[in-house]
Amino acid sequence: MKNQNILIVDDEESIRLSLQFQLSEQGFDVDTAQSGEEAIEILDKGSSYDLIITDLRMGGESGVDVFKKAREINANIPVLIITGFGGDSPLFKEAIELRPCAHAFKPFSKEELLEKVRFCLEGAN
Amino acid sequence: MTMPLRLTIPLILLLFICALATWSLHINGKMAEENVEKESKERLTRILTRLQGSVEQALRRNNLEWAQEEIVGLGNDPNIELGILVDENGKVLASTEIIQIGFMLQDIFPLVTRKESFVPGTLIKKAKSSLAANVLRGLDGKSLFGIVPIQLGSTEGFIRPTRLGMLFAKLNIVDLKATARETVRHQVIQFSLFLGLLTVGLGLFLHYHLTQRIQQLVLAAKAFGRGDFQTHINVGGDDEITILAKSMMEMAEKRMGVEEKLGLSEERFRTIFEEAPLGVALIDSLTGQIYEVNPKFAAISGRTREEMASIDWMSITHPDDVQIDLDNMADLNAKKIDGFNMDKRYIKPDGSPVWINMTIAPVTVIDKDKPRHLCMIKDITDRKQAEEELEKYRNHLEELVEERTQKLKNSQKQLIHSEKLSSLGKLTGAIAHEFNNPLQGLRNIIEILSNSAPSEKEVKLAELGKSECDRMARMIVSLRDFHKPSSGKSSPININRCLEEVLALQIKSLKERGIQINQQFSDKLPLVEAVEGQIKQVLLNIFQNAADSISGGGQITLTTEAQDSRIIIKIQDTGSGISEDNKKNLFEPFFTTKGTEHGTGLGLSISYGIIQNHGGDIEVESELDRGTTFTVILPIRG
Repeated sequence: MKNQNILIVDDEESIRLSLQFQLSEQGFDVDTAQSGEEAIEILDKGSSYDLIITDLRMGGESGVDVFKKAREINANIPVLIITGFGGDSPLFKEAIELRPCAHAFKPFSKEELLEKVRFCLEGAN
Repeated sequence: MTMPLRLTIPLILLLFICALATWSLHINGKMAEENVEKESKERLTRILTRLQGSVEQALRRNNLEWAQEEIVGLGNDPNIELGILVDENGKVLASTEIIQIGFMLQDIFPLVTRKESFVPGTLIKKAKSSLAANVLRGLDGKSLFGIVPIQLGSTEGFIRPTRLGMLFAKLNIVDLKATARETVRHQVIQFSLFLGLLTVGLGLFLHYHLTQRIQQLVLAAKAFGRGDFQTHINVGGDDEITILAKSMMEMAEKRMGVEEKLGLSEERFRTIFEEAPLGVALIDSLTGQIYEVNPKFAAISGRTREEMASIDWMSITHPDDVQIDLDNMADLNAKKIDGFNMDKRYIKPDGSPVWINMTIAPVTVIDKDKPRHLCMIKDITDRKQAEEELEKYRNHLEELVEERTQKLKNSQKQLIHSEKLSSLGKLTGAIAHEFNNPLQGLRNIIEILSNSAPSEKEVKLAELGKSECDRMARMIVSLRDFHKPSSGKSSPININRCLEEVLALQIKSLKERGIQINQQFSDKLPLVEAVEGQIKQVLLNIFQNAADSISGGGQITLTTEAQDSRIIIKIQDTGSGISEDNKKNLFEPFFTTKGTEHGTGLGLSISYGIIQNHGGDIEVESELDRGTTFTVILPIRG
């Protein structure tokens, strides 16, 4: 059976790499993008993912732009929002409007991450 | 009662006449009776003497009948009651009563021997020796008795006529006396009547000639007294009264000239006094007695002029103004000042005060020994009211300014605090996000590394690293929440219940720490318009601080009460207290005495912000080692 693939979008290298490590360890195929632009470019190329995990505020295109792009390509694709801001930031509220499968406030534990990832993937199926 | 002279004098005269008449009647009556008696005696003597001659002549001629006729002739006189001729033996020879002739005298008059009834023997003896007629008044005074010896002839043997008879006569004088008295009475009455008429005439004369004229003088004098000098005196005649009347008229004319001038002057000043637009009064300097007031004065003081004239000024002056007025009066009487002016109050009869401006100055009126004050007053009640209004308005304005200033100060204070919190919040919010990202990376890395830790020790260290990351994350959350604008809606909440709920969360740990809780909640605490979550957060924060200040057991007392339009919540502990230095920084953000492990230093600062946002306040009283009292004040209407 083919592994489920996940795209992680975050401008923080430490987060990108550590998340990639933790999810790969769980048997997921993980790609990363270090900015919104890169993520949109990847999606434009036609790569398809079972789950997109994206930060919200990044230099340049935001997580919301990535979210919208992903939904353009696949209206049912689950998106997990991770953010360092609280629930009252405008970007977060905009993102919630797009109905992500889940969200996690940084910093979160490995357990929280895995639980929410599984929830998103199960919901999609 | 006065008795006019024109009546008095005639009355006295009449009385005098009456007395004179009575006296005259008495004296003259007696005299008339005596005269009658005397005349009767003489008359009887004459009759008897005449009879002696005629009877003796008849007897000498032995004509007894003639003698008898002579005797009977006596009876013609109505007053002669009896006439008897007896001989030398007492035998009746002739009598006015015929039947007695021949009888013995003793038989006819058994009483003849009785001295009081008839002729005494001495009279007979006297008559015999003198041979002449003798008359004597009877002892009862009603009759006269006369006796005369009559020579009857000679006894036989004697040449000389020795036979001597007696002629007796009795004359009744009662009627004569009565007639005489009556005559006198008539004379006296006539005389009295004449005098009476004379008196009446005198009275009329006095009335018309003197009294009436004097009466006119009296009336004129009275008229002059009233100031009516026009009165004309018409007494007529040319005597002393006329002169007096003329003098009075002259005096009146002179007086009239002066009076006229005085009258004009008086009228002028009277008009000024009566019509003056100011209240004017004349007051006794020493007693304060009011003598006279003008109509304006009476009107201002709310009394009639007559009422005013019977009281002193102290009794109508407001009690608070009497002393200062008395002091001024004392200075004036001591001549320290020439006069004074002051504002004071009179009390009207209905008790309402009237403000007046009063000027007092001494005046000399009529009597220099009785010093008076001239008092002039003006009603200034309207002005005083306006001043009071103005004063009230000014005070109100000051209050308003004060109030507004206080509000502005509070707003400014609140604004500064909010601004401080807000800018701090923005900063921390920004930092928080920046911290969260690396923290996430850090935490993930520690977690990954801990999976490949070579020993238990490294695993523990990695766990510590993770928990430190979590603590940092919590700090970031609280920093981020700190600046959040108040969220949540206001609703009526029960502060007692809020405190109980906060207490319920803590009760277990409090018991473990040996802290006793006293609740003194008011039963009548009204609901407060507030955000429940925020108020609970504040109460919890203060309560935790109180608990943390207590080590080794103690007490926390919770008190609630309503005061006017706010409620007071007191949280009092018996803990370590707060030093003066710390008290200054108590509400500053990031100020903490608990050490960085236990506190962020934001609790009280946030609490202060919340309560200020609710329009309330937090006050702190503290004494080192004794304890601290936090007082939260909340307005009842949000």
